[in-house]
Amino acid sequence: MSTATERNRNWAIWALLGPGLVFIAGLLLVPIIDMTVISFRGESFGQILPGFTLANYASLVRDSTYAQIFLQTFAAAALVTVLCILLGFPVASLIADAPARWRGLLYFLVAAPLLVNTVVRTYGWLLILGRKGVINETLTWAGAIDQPLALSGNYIGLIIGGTQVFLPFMILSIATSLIAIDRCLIESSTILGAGPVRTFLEVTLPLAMPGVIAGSVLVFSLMLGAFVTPLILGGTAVKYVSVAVFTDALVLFNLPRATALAMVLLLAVLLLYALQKRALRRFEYYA
Amino acid sequence: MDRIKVSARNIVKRFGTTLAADDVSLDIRDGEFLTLLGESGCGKTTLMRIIAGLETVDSGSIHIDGQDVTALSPRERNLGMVFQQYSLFPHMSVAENIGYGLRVKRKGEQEIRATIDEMLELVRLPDLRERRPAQLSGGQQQRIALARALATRPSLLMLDEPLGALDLKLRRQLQAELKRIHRQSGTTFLFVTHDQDEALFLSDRVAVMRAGRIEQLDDPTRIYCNPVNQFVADFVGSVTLLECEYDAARGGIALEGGGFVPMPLEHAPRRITLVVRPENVQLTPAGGGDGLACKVEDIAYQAGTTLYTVRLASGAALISRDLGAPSPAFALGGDARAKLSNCTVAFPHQGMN
Repeated sequence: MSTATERNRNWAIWALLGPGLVFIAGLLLVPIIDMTVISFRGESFGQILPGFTLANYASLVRDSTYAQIFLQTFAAAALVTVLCILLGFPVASLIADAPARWRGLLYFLVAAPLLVNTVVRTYGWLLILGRKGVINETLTWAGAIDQPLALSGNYIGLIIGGTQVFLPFMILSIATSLIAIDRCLIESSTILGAGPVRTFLEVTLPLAMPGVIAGSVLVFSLMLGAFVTPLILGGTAVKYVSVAVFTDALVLFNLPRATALAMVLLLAVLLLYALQKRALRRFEYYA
Repeated sequence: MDRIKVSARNIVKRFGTTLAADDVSLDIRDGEFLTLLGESGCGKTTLMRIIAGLETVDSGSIHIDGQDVTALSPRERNLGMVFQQYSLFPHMSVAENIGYGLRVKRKGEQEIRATIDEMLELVRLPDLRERRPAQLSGGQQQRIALARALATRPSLLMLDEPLGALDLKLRRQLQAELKRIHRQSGTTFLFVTHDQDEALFLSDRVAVMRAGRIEQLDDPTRIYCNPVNQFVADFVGSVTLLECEYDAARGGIALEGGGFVPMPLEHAPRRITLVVRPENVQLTPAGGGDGLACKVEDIAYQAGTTLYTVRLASGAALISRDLGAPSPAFALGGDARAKLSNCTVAFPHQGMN
């Protein structure tokens, strides 16, 4: 039996949740359902045909360029993820070891690049990596190279740009895990005779794994869906799923195939999150 | 003469403007149970961490087994440590935790297994080998932490308020366990606590610390009965300090505001301080008896004993402890007589501050 105050509170909760739920249902659920439906429709000269067909998915499988696009996309996402782990771990350690009153500032410094629009940031990279960019000009001036290095408009540019864009997510995720490690665990290991390398491998790293996994899934899925970075820094040399979706949808006006591509990407990400949940369960030491 | 296991000489350590160790020297004897006792911030944990090598010193030196280890890292000092927080590695089983130090020191598989068994036996938890720390109670975790610290046969085992996170009943149980494990292992124990009961119960010697200095280093009975100054007297147990005159001719102590306690002393200065503990005060009904006249201010019953707070004519308050329930002979606000017996004296009076 619920009292009057409880009923009032329930009403209040639904009233507060309502706008948000409508927003999510309207702007997320409906488009996804719409997308799913369209991906099973036929297409002719930019027109979506009625009826059900698997042709869009079939063409993805049949046409080997799509396999290549997916392979390049996943490889780039994997490489960026690994680079983010390698570059992010030391920074995360620095944040975790810093006195608590400095952490706020360090967090801000890490997250500050996120305040700049991705397009602006990516063009910034062009100024650095381009044929007439800072790096090439400096190296030429120093006499280290005759020809400018190809640092953008290719895979290298994509990886550098992607790593920089998504590094903050990895750092913040790992730092959260590292801060949760009680200092006395590290001190126990040291007193028991373990050196810094051993302590890192046997104590710090296993306990930081939840952060590494969460950060990896985040960076990997964000990089899978990245659009601006592959478009601007990858250029035409790099085949990327998001760019292919864009081309299909807005250049070729083949919306059904574009949505089929997007669906495959979406399913890949969902699968990834499911795998992450399973992987994280292995590291739930405190449950 | 006992062999010295650990010797800290003239340790100075500053954190910003606070002096955590103010020229402290301390010798820990081989095999003893020594406790650093003091309030939080008195420097007891810092001194322990300096001995462990977890903190550096500004000046001074640490010797372990005669060897100067001041410049050595913690991993080279062959020590054991149990922290207040649960410090077992959460991703390892109990057996892996206990074996960690041995694996690091590259002991053989057989020896490691044998030592794990022996240590589990020592802390009386032989059935928990494969458990994870999260599956253990707080008390069990601390006992496994003890087993892990002792497994490497350290020169010195340090315990930083290891029972601080446990409830009172479990604390009492583990104190007894700790005492037995100390005896059985023969290891030198350095214990840090702010709990004076715990310190007196466990220790062979207690160092009472304040503001980065050791105020008194003595065995528990002397700490309790013969505090060197007011701070130690106040810190350890419930006490009333009565400043009074020693009357050498009558062989006793004349109290302020009248009253005389027969108590022959040798070499006593004229002004002395009497250390009066609740067990030194016997209350008798007003009228008869030869005690000091007083008024009953409070009567408190505490599981098995009754504490009477009485006020003397001089204004000093005394506490008397009696076995059993409150006696009908005493009423709040009523008169009574307090007889002092077996009191001890703090020397020297001048040194009291």
